[in-house]
Amino acid sequence: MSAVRQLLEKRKKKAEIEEYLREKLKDAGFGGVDIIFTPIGTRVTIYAMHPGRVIGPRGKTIKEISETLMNKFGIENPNVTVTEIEVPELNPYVMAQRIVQALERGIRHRRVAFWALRRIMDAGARGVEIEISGKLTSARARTEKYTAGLMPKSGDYALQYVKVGKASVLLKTGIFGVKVKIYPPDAPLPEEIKLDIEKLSNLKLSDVKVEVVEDNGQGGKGAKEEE
Amino acid sequence: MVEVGCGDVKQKPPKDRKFGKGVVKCRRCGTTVGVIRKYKLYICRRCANEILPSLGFKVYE
Ligand SMILES: [Zn+2]
Repeated sequence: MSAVRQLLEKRKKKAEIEEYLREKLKDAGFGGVDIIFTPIGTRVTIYAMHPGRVIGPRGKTIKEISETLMNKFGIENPNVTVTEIEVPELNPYVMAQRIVQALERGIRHRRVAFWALRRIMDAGARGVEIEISGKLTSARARTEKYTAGLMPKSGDYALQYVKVGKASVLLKTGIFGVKVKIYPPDAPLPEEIKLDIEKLSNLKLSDVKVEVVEDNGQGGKGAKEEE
Repeated sequence: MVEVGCGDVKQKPPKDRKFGKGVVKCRRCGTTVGVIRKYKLYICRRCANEILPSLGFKVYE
């Protein structure tokens, strides 16, 4: 087996496990999983909003998960641990699932969308986009988009930093889809200019030199201006 | 064997195949249409769009 195939095989297994856990831990606020293969065994760390629901009564659910990992996915000696998500509002999967649960309870889509939008922006995100599609008010299906803040749509910034989460529900009128895009607080922007304030304050009037640093490793050359 | 419909139409159990289009299936959804076999992926083009980014590929369209 070639090195490329070996790597892909590993990642494929990880993607399959993540898909299984997402379906299984829908109500526990599943927000991602970390899988590390070691010679001794496999460390599986599950991130969830409600760790208690992942563990289950007397560890019933977590035992089920580790058994499935062993039998269905062929993982040897899995060591499953659960960690709580620090800021669930900044996790798109969790928020999409919460919107879906609210729609199931019969709350108006517009109200749910604005509630989620405010929650995410208050948590410190730089931008949010929420898409709800389905038979919203009439028999004709429609997509409604709610946005706030900044959202790169193309290029490396969109691929690298924007986090996307999807969920769907079957309601009385038909299937509804929810897509949540979050631009995280720590993500940079290509046009952002940062001034080195410490350097500037230490300067004397005699050698005034303004340095403009573009804070990215890819596009900018780091423009320099001298006066 | 069971008689189905009119005339001489008879239904046979599906053939047990070892090779050919019928055995090349997507391991995610089970379709035989549009399956990518490169790198032994065995993922159909529709599922590929959803999960290949997590495998490290760039999906543009
Ligand atoms: Zn498929």
